[in-house]
Amino acid sequence: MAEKMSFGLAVAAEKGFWEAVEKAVEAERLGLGYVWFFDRPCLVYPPLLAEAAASQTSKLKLGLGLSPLLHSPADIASTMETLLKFYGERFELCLIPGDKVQLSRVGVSLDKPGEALNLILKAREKIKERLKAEGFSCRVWLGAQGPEMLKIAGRFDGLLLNAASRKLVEWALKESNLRVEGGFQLGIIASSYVYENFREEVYRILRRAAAVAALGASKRLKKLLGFPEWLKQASLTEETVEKLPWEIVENFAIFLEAEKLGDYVASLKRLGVSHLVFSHPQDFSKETIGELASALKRLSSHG
Amino acid sequence: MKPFLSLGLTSAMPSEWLDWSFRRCEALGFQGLWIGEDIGRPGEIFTLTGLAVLSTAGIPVGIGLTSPFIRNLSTLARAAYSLHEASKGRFRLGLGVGGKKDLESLGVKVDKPLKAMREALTLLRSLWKGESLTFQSEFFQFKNYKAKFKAEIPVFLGARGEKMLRLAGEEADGALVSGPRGYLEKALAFSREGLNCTLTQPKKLVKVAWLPTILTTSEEDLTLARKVAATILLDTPSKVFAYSKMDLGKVEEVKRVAASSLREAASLVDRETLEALTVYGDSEEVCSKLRELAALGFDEVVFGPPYGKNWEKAVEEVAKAWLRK
Repeated sequence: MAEKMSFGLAVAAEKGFWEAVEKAVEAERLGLGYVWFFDRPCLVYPPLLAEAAASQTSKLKLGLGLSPLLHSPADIASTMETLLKFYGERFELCLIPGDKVQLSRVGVSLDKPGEALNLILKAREKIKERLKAEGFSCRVWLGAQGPEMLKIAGRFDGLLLNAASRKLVEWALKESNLRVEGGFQLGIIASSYVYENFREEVYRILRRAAAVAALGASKRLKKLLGFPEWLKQASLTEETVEKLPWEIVENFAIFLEAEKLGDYVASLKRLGVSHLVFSHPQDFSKETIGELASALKRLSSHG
Repeated sequence: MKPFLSLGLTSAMPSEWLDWSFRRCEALGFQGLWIGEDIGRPGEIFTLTGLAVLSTAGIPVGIGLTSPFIRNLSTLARAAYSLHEASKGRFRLGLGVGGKKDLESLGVKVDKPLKAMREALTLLRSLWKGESLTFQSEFFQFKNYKAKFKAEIPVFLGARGEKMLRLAGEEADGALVSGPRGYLEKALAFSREGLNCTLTQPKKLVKVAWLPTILTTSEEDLTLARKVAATILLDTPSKVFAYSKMDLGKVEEVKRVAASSLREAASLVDRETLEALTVYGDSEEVCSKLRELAALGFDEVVFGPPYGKNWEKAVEEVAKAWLRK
């Protein structure tokens, strides 16, 4: 079942630089194909994490999620070129708009509608052009969730959708008029906790991370998911996180007992999903990474 | 104390040079490594410095220099922190305003470089302390921003002008100094003045001299050295030459010609000018001149580009000659 689906782990350097690198090394040792590092303005610089991980692994594919709103297309292209040149063609790029609130904290604010969209499209063009001119092969994904951003997904080599449920994937495909064909890849990324030995602490982090994603959803998406009226405008507080119904949160969270992963993966494959990224808190510890890796191994051994 | 010899490189150099240098510099005996950012040219400074850090084990590795005005300051803070972590504390961050033309090519204009650099230094230190930051100026905007990391990272200022040198003495951990040889003593004096102004506890300012170095083994190497000297003349403010005891008439003449033809200007560069602006000669002469520089009061000297026509040989020979003494 799993041979056509690739799996990745998104590692957040919450606990420091080398611990994140060690998790990437562990992911390769356990047979995971990809590790992704996504940009957050308050954490370590992802290209250097990817570089350190590349220096300590041999086959692992490394994904970088960078926002052209924070980094110039020339800098992004140059970063990818340098990595590809020195460590080989095992890097992929995902252009993301980035979190509005976090970006505004470092002085990046886009007020005009469509501004982020245009910036991302221009960045894609420049980056692809430069990498092609230098003779590098590097898949460029779009990381998206909102309806506007989804409309441009077809211009990329793949869409990495921030979602977990079938319902959201179906909605995104409809919104974007996407046809998953001709080398285009549909991937999903979501806060995940696939477990063998349940830990309340990890579940709490999962619930919070998924609730944050849900609360940041577009109006259209909130309507689709049946957000209660009082929650539509609610800001992110511990209370709203607590009160957000699980039926909504689960659209943004992969929360599964290990043995149920097979059914979940099969349902996604039927929708055309070919890349699945398990995000924080699946990277909580080497144990939680190990539990995911065991579940994936069982999937492939069962065909 | 015996001066340090570091190897200087820049980000747009061919990748095979960089790779070779990163892998060999420690074994050759260099005690430090500096990588300068060639703004707007291929070769990304942070990932290249990352490669240098990951290819070496014990020597300090620094960016010398990058400008704090060409990317979001939070990115610079995060990249520097990541390099500090990746190197396990061996990283040094060198900051300079950046060349006027380079900045203009990115649409950046720095009208008050001293004020802006002081802001950059203060903000970076504050970010690395993990403080919550709200700040608004022409170049930097932060609103309730707090990085999720803490570090103490040595910051060097690349300075040539009097005020920037004083700022280095006052606020930075080190100064990367370049300019005509006759000016360097004056430059050290300026940085000492800044050091005397510090209100904090007495601190040490690490002073690094980085002049173009060329191993001249042929006429071709000398032509290269002259071309480099002409380029420096073109790029250096006249004020600096006034301090350097150089023949100002000659300087202005070469500058005038260099504006239209670098090759012609190079042919006007005589031995005296070459001596003032570069470190050149065979490996023994280069090392002896570097030691003379150190004797002026520098803690560290850099063997940096253009090295000579055969760069690999030049780097190896100078390293050997340095170790022999």
